[in-house]
Amino acid sequence: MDAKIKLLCKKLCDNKAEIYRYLGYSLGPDIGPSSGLDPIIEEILNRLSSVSTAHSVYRSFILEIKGNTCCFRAPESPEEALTVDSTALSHHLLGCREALLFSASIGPGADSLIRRYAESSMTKLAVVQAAGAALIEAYADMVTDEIKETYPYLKPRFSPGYGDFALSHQTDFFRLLSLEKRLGLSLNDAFLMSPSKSITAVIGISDSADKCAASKCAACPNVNCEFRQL
Amino acid sequence: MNIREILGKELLFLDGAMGTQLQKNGLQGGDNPETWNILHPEVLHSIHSSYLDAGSNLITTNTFGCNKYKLEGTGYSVEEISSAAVAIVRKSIEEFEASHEENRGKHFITLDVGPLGKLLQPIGPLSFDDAVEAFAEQIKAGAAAGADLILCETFTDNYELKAAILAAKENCDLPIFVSIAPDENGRLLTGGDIASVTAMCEGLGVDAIGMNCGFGPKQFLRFLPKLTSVCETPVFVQPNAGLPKVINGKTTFDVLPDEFAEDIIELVKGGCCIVGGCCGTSPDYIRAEVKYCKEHFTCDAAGIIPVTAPEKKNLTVISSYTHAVYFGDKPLLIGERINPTGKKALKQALRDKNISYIINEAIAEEDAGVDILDVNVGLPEIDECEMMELAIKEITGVSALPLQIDTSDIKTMERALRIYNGKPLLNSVNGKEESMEAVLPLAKKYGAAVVCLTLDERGIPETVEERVAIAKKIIERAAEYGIDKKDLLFDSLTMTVSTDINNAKITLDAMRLIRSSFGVNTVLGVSNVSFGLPLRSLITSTFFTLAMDNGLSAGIINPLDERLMAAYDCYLTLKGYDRQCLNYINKYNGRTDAYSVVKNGIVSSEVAAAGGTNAGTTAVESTNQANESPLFNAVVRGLQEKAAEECKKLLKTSDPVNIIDGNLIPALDKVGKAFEQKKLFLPQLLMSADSAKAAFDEIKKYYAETGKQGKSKGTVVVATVKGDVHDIGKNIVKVLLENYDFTVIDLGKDVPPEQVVETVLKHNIKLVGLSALMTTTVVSMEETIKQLHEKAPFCKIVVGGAVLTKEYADKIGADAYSAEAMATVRYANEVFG
Repeated sequence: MDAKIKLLCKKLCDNKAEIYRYLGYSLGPDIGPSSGLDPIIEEILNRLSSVSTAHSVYRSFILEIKGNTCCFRAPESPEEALTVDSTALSHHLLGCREALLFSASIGPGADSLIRRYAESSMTKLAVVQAAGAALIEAYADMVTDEIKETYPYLKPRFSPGYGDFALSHQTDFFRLLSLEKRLGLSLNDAFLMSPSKSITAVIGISDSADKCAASKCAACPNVNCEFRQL
Repeated sequence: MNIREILGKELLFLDGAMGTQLQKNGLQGGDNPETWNILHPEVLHSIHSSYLDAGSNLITTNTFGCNKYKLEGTGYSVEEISSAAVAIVRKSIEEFEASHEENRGKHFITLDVGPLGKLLQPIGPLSFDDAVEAFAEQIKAGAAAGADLILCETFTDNYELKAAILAAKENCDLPIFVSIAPDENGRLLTGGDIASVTAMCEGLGVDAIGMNCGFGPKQFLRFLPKLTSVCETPVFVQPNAGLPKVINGKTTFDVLPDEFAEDIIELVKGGCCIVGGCCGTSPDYIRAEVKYCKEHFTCDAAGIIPVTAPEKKNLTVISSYTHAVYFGDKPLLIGERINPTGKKALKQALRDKNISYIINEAIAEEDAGVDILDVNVGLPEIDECEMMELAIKEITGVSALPLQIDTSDIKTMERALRIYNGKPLLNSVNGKEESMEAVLPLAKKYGAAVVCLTLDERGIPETVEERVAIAKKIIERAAEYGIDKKDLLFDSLTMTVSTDINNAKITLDAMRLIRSSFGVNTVLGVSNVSFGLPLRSLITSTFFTLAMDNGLSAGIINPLDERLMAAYDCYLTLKGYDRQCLNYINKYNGRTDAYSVVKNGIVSSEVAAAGGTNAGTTAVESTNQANESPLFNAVVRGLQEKAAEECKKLLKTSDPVNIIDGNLIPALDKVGKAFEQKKLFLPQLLMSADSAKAAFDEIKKYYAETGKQGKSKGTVVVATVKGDVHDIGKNIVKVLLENYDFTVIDLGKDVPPEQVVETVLKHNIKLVGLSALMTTTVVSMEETIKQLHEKAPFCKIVVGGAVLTKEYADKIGADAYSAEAMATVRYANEVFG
């Protein structure tokens, strides 16, 4: 069993708010999740805990922003580079001279559970989707915190698909981080990753704690999204 | 000299990093390293020579990525690169040996084979057959060019490794070394542990098993005991020079040659027969390794350090893609429910290709606690081979249990053994010459453990002695094919006790004798014993207990038979396998009747989780009216078990149509409305949907038993469009539609437009529901709509998915937009109303 995953599942079990949020609950004073849901969430977290494995990879790049264009360049081999045209990303990274390309995954176990419940229980299917999403986010947060020991001032993660940061840039993450080899990820023609509970993101490195631009949800134009966190 | 002559006898040295050396010589990120065999042969020659000079015996060719996928766009073929790479190593070795008389013949051209760079299904796009083919191309070319052995290294997927090993076995007779790159928990990226990989690789007959990359020698010292405790094959390790760190833009490693070499000594003490290096190492590391080993260990006059290969462990093991299962001590359970013999519903499911039925059986068996799943899909009227492949893929998609492949059709057997991801259990061979001739070579080639039935041309012998004699014959014949008896599990054949009162006794005596005389493991299908008797499970479970006490290694049983499971639990408790009786207490504490838990085929954990504890859904509960039936209430409150039970009761007095229209649909309407008003949320809606489904399953059973037919409200096709792999929304819509008594054809996810059109035309469908979650896949949705409008203008299309809006749905030509699942149900009611 993966010790990090075990720890994160325990945390998610102790505080289920994140999973409720992914399940679409808006936690107002009157409407809370039904108590019948908690044992199901716990069962699913138990299962996820035994089948998931945490892996991550990141690499630092020199960043230059010109207008709406972000240019990332590997310091050790300048020909390994990435250019992104995105207002949202350039705005998000404003003031950074370095950035990390980051990826994390909890492995194929969650997808196996998703297939299992698609055949047997819609309730558990929804819960495993939600818990899996919460778990990969929590794991990415954990790794980001570890990275902060090296780079204390990090901007929030910003992923392809947020705002006008085109999803097609997933291919660049695969190329520059060797995600097939390092994390066992695969990308389909629509730029979706398998295993599905995986993340790619740019993390801006800042010199100081100030001037943090709008994060993930604030940068997203889908203002009616149920999961919007502001 | 063949390396097999000295493998496991003399300490051998592999070489170190290739990539690191190429980079030192000017290889840039983005360059293809394999093209350097042709563009810069002098660089390769100098690297190989310096490793020879440092003391390496095994010189790896620069062919890690020499496969058709990674060479794409380089302008070179796999053959060109392979033969160039092998030739450079050969030349380097010949030159070195010319000046080093004493070591002549102790250097080997090692064909390096790395992963393909594309992942295998279900994660990636590559089929198993395509993977075997790509490896075959590389290995054939390397062998033809004159390699001495094959080294498959840095594998992180069990299945891809199996493809590489099979390709090697099928295309050359060279020794095969395999090496995995485990993560910090000692697992592969696809989940396999060291024991499961070892079981599969030893089954397939590789010559050496190793680990490389990812970590320095200290970390591998942690994993080594795991490997040596299960492995009978010589072991090797190629660590990195510690862990990579980027300093001033350059990747460096934190362990220097002397420290590295000191740790290597520990690895050799721990059982390694071969050592080398991976990323970050150089000839200096290998030189230090050789020097330290020669100083530390006793060498003979020729400078050879003797080692011993791992001792024989006599483990009977099978594996899945995640874990290994060992036979011999605690009795194991093999679930028998996926076998159509005597099972009407499964037969129908097989004819209908209803894979969901099979998956649910597998899940139920796993949840009930079996260790292994038997898979038998043989029916005269279906293509067994095709069905077996589908069943194996689908079952392994939802369950990590190892499988027992159960078929008498040789073609099906071979295909199943081939595509299975792990070391399978094969059911079965018997003492007939014809059976042994056909089955044993397959078992050997694909590395399966085999169930051996003690019958032969004369049938099932009536005496213990004759059954034991057949077992002996099979052991001898298997040995001729190179199969060790540890891979044979004997079935002394359970006969019906009602036809001959001695039958059970003969079976048990034969089993005990076979186990004690030959030291082999045993299996039995137990249920046959009670045929023709009342309260069969009473006899069966008692027989099962006796069998376990007479040396049964694994019982083939129905795990949903609570009496049988109780017998098993009691046996484990009484024989000391259940520490502090914890399992027994957990399972039976609070029960008054040992056998009352399983009802309607729904397993107890399901009941506990989805059933009684659901006190929620308060928003709906408060509005209950007096005239609402118990079934209505069960669905509203999301009580799955209760809903099934109440539906069953109602079916005794009411017509199914009345039950659906009078209870299920009003209940779902009520929950659906509360959901739309945000008085309750998705999970509660789904609990109700699952409960209605449980009730519907009872109605379906009723139809099947009475031969009556329900009348569906209409047929709807649902699909997640091409490119998109998100299907939870589509699945919810499907279940809700079914709950409202529509028939649903679910085409799944990533469905091409043509397939939707074809299905609509074939079944004359009036309504299609399409789902897409990403902006990138809405394009496929638009294309699907366009084709449907063109070729099936009579068909309405409703679309849904996170990125869609009403406006966008209109723009791409959908007839309706559904913001959530209930809206689709309402639209379907409109279309068919």
